[in-house]
Amino acid sequence: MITSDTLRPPFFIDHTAPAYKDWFHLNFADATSDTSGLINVSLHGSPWDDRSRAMGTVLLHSPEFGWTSHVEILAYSEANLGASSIGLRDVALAIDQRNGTIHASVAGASSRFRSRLLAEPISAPLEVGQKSPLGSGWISWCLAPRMRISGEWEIAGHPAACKNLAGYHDHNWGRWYWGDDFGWEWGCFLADPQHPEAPSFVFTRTCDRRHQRYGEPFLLADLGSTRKQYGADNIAIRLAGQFRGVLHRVPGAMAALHQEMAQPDIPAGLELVARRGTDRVHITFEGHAAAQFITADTVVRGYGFIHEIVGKYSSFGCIGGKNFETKGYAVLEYVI
Amino acid sequence: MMLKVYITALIEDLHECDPDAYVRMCHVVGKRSARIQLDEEAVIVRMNLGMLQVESSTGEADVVSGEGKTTRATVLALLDGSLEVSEAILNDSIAVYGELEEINRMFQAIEIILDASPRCPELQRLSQKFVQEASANPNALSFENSTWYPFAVLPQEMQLLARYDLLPRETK
Repeated sequence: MITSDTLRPPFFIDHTAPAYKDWFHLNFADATSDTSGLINVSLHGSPWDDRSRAMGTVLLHSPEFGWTSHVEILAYSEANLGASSIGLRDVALAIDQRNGTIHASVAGASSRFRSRLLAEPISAPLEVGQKSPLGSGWISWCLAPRMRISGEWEIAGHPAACKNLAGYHDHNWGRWYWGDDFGWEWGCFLADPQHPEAPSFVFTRTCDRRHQRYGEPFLLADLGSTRKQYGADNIAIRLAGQFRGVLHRVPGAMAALHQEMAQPDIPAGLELVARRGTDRVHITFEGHAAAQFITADTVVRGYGFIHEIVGKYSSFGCIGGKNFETKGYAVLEYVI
Repeated sequence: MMLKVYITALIEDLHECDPDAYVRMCHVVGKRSARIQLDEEAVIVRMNLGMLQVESSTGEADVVSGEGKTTRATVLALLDGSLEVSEAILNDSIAVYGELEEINRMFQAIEIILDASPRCPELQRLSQKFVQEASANPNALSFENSTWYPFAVLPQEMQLLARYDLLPRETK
C-alpha cells in the first residue's frame, strides 16, 4: 500500500524549514451510531526551532452526544516522532510501512472519547506528487481513499466495539504559514466497506482566503478495482446554503481570541457534477454539524480556520459503463 | 499555583518571549489597575511604567479601574472549547465591571496574551500547568452550562431579536 509514506521533515540546509507542515489524517464514520470523526496528528515548524509544535486533534460528532473533541499540543522534544508515526501523550497515529495499515489511539483521563482503531486500506493509495502552490509556499499529499476500520471506542463513558467502519486516510506535507492568503475545500464521501462495488469519492480545490479565486479542482472516484480522476474541464461545483448551526470551536484559547469567527460564512452543503465521455457523477452533500479548528502558526502571527462539516451524501451516475447509486457519510472541509 | 504567582508568571513570560507584545500591553493598560478574582482568590494588578505590580486584594475597598471575576471551572471549560466567551458572559460565569473603555482595555490585554501564546512555549507550559492543577480540584471539573438566556425576556424583545436574526441558534 503506501509503503514509502513517511513524514517529510526538511533538511538542515532548507531555508524554508520554518514553514514546514506535515500531518497524517484519518476519517471514519459508523452507521450504527451515526458517528463521524477524525484523528489528525501534525507537525508545525522547523525541527530546530523550540517554538515548533506537534499536535494531536480529535473531533467526533454523534447525534446523541454532539461534538466531542480533544486537542493536544506538545514540543517536538516531548512527542514521540518516527518515520511514519506521531505519538503524543493521549493521541497517536502510526502507519505500518509493510502494508499501509494505520494504528490510531486516543487516550487520556479527561477525554470523552477514547479509542484504539485499526484502519486497513482496501484500495490502492494515490500519491499526488507535485507541489501545488499554497499561500507563500506549497502543499503535496497522498491518500488512501477507502479504509476498513475496526477496533473499540468509548464515547462519554459508553464503550462499543466497532467493525467495518468506513474510513479515509491522507498525508499532507509542505511549506506554508497559517494566515497566508489561501484556503481550500476538500470533501471525502465514504463508501460502505461492506459494498466494495460502491464508489467512494474525494474532491479538493485550493483557493484564496475569500474563496473567490480557485485553483484546479480534482475529483477521484474509487470503485476498488477501477479508479477515475476528473479535472477542471470535467467538474462543476456549487457550494449550497450557509451553515446556521452552532459551531464547536477548538482549541478554546484560540476560539476565545477569535470571537469574529464564531459565526463564519461557511456552506451547509455541496453539489458536485463531473462529466467526461460516458462517465457522469452527481454528488449531493448535506451538512448536519460543523466544527472549527483554529490553527495558529508557531513562527508568524497568523491563523487558519479549518471547518469540518459532517453530514450525509447521495450520489448517482455511471463510471466506466457501470451505473451506480449510493448514499453514505461525508465530511466537507472548508478552510479560511 | 496562587493567582498572584500565576499572573506574574504570565506577564513575565510574555515580556521574555514577545517583547513587542509586552510593549503593546503596557500601552493598552497604561496606569490602570484591575481587580482580578478567580474563585475566592482576588488580586489587584497594575502596570505602571512597564513594571507589573500584583498585590493582594483588600476587598470592596479596592480602588481600581475595572474588575473581572470568574472561576477555575469556567476557565477549564473555555480552554477545552466546551464554552464560548459570549456564553460565559451571558451566564454570569465571567463578570466584568467598569466603564466601557476600561472593560475594552482589560479584554485587549487578555487578547494580547492569547495572540502571543502560539509562538511562546513558556505561555503554553503555564497554561498546561494551570489546567493540570485546576483539574485536580473536583469542583473545577463540574462546570454547569446554563441555557442562554438566563433572565426573563419580554415577548417584544424576542420579536425584536428574531427580526434581526439575533436569537440563539439550535444547539447540538
